[in-house]
Amino acid sequence: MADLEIAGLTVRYGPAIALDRLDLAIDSGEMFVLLGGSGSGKTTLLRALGGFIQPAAGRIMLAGQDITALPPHRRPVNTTFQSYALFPHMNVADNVGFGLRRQGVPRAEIARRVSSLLDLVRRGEFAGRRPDALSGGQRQRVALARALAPRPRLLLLDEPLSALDRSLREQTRQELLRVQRETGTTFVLVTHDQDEALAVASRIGLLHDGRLAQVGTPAEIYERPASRFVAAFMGAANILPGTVRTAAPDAVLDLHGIGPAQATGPAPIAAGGALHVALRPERLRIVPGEAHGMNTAPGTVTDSAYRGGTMDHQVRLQGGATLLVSQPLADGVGAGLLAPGSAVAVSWPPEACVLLPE
Amino acid sequence: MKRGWLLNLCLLLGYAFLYVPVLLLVATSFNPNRLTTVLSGFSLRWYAALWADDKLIEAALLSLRIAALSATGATVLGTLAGYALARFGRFRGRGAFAALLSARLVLPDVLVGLSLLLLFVQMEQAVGWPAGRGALTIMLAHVSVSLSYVAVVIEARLADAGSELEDAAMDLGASPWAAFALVTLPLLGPALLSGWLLAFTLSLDDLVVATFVSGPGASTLPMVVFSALRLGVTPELNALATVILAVVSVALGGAWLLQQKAGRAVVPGRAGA
Amino acid sequence: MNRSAVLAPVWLWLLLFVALPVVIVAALSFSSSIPGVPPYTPLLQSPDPANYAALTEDAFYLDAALKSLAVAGVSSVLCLLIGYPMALAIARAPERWRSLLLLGVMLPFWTGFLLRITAWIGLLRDEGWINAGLQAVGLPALRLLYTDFAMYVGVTYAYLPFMILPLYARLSRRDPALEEAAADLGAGPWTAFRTVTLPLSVPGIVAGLALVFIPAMGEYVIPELLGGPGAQTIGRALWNEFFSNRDWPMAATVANALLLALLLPMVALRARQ
Repeated sequence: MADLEIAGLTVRYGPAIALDRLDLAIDSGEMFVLLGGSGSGKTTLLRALGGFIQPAAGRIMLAGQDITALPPHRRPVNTTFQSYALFPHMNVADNVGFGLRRQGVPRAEIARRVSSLLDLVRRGEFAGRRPDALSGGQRQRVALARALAPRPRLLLLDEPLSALDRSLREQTRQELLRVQRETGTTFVLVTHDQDEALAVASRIGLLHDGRLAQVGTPAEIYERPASRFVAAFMGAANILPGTVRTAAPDAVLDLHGIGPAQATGPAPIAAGGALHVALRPERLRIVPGEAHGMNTAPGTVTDSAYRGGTMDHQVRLQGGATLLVSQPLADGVGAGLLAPGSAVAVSWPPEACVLLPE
Repeated sequence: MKRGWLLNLCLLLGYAFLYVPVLLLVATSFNPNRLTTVLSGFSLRWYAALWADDKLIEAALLSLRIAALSATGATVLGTLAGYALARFGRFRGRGAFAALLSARLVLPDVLVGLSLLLLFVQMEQAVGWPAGRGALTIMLAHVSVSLSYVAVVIEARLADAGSELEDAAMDLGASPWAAFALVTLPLLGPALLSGWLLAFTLSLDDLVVATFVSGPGASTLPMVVFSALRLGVTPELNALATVILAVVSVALGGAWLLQQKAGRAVVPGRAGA
Repeated sequence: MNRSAVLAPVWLWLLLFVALPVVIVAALSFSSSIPGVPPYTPLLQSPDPANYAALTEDAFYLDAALKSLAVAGVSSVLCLLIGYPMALAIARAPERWRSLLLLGVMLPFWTGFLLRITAWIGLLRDEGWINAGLQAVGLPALRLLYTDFAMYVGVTYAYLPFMILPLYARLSRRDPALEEAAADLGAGPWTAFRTVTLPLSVPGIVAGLALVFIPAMGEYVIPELLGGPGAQTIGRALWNEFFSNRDWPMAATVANALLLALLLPMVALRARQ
């Protein structure tokens, strides 16, 4: 059953539309990630859920209750802020207990719950410290404990990892997932980082220009992007225009500057129609020498870059298009070495062709 | 390096310009001789004369009372005004609100004094209040002068702190008033204190506005000092100036230490990640 | 929080004690002076521009305006010349020293206006510290107090902190990397200052000049205490019309003219932006 239901949500800043008739349903216990670039509306959506901005139209239902008009302090929704927003004039325990004191929870009960929350985020020894004596990662955990203390129905996390060093991020991400599992609270996390979204989300909602471009599991979003925008945002470097030659049962396409290509499944439009195809660099293979045929195109290596785990080649095809090919270096660096100017062929399996309707 | 040296020399000369006249005044105040520039020993003679001057003491007490009351009023109103400017966004009439608020910062004292006096005269004619002029009208005038300064201090502090902490408090179930009382006010503590002190000092220091809006019987310390100064500096005035200097230095030093402490507590990121 | 509960008291106060007095001054400038309490014909009964005619016809007021312009212009430029190097030196000082150095600039300001003037009278008068020094080295004594020189020095001294604060605020926010970038691109220290630091500090310079110039335009106390009898500024003219001649409408007319002279350039400047 959907726990959070958003219907027709519209937010305007003066004449600018930040959220445009947005519909979304999130299930209880999900780790839902709102992903998007700056200006996509992801922070606006989060603030609307928290009650910090009033929508111009639409409805927000939480556990069957309409919370659209409720002010922040009446919503069973809590937030961890991007800057953490820990109260500098209170120690860690008082910060975590703040929401409980607002609820009028008895003092002894507050003390008990604060200490169990600090144990949950493994920061029990920091209870007496002031926020300015904590490191970034420690603050993040205290902010998490503070937001969880009132036992919210929904927890909002605004870029929880962005202020942390790269080395701390992975560890903190694991912690977030563990806490989410242990508490079973519905989490809605905002980020601009697609790797982070793929790593933590049960589902992802990709926002673009105030609308949801696609909602789905990480695998769905990554493997079956619904549009050119989604494909490009999720890191598909090769997006090529083409024409449908045969629509069904399995589509056959003419890729401009490449040649014929076989896909799996039917085309979304009839034969003769134009569409785009995404080819992920890591699904392409370099075949030595010249080769022709379905899903294989000859070309010349123009540039190569060493990426650690892979070698990325730019291949200029004879048909005129340029493809980025990411070759795994599992067999050692030597296997990936190709001098610029080498004649090669690029090939890919039919299921690598992702058809993007316009 | 050469330019740094030159700059520091300028700074030193600037401080000399600021402090040499004051230090000479302090030296003179301990001189038993009336001929001020011939230092002929150390004496508290003029301080004794100061202590015995009832008129001056009375004026000082009146000034302190007016300053304390007007500073408190200005702090309350100025905090509301600063909060509105920092947190209400583009509310209706904001432009006029801000313009009226800053008017006091850009109008010369003689204008403020004359216009407020005329207001009090007209008000007395129209509604009978405030009846006559004196301590009350001086206080009202000082509140309306200082309120702008307090608003500037408070607005700057709030804008600096951002609204995220208040959002966090409301997110955790605090009503807007509770968020203001539990989070905003404590954070404003040092700014409130420095706003109050600023208003207090402005009131203590004001001669022109007070002279306009005062009535018979209500002479503040600057008014008494001014009428004495018109006849020339007396050693007693030097002693008074030294006393004020000492009090202000101690108070300001204390406030500075307090703010240093508070400043450290609200700057995030000291400990590092 | 209920916005109107925050805004209403401030609005009420601003309208009553800031906006209304200005309106009354404007209205009074069209009344005539009569003996009585209050000493003017009822406001707006028979508006008469006679006061403005007097203002333009009597060379006394024009001279006063020019004198005030000279005082405000000279002293604000002097403040800039003394204050800029000081502000820059403080902004470049190690961070832990900055607030203390700034406190050093502010301390004389907080100790009171009249106190500072008292100190200068002690320095400048015929048997003051400067003349004592001159005579000690065998030079003839100079007439310093009650001259234009004393007035300029006094105004500069009194308003110097108002110049330093906005300049410092601006200069301390600059990115040190900008000057390093200029140096990296081949600019010497002086060129880096001229092409990067100085242009970026222009808003601070403008703010500082305004903060000194505006109150100096209406200054009454310093010309009265340090200037000669010939130093008739607008502030003194207004004060004398009011307190000596008891011609309140004429005082209001002078006030109104001063207000317009100060506000119109500001409005024009804002309109151009």
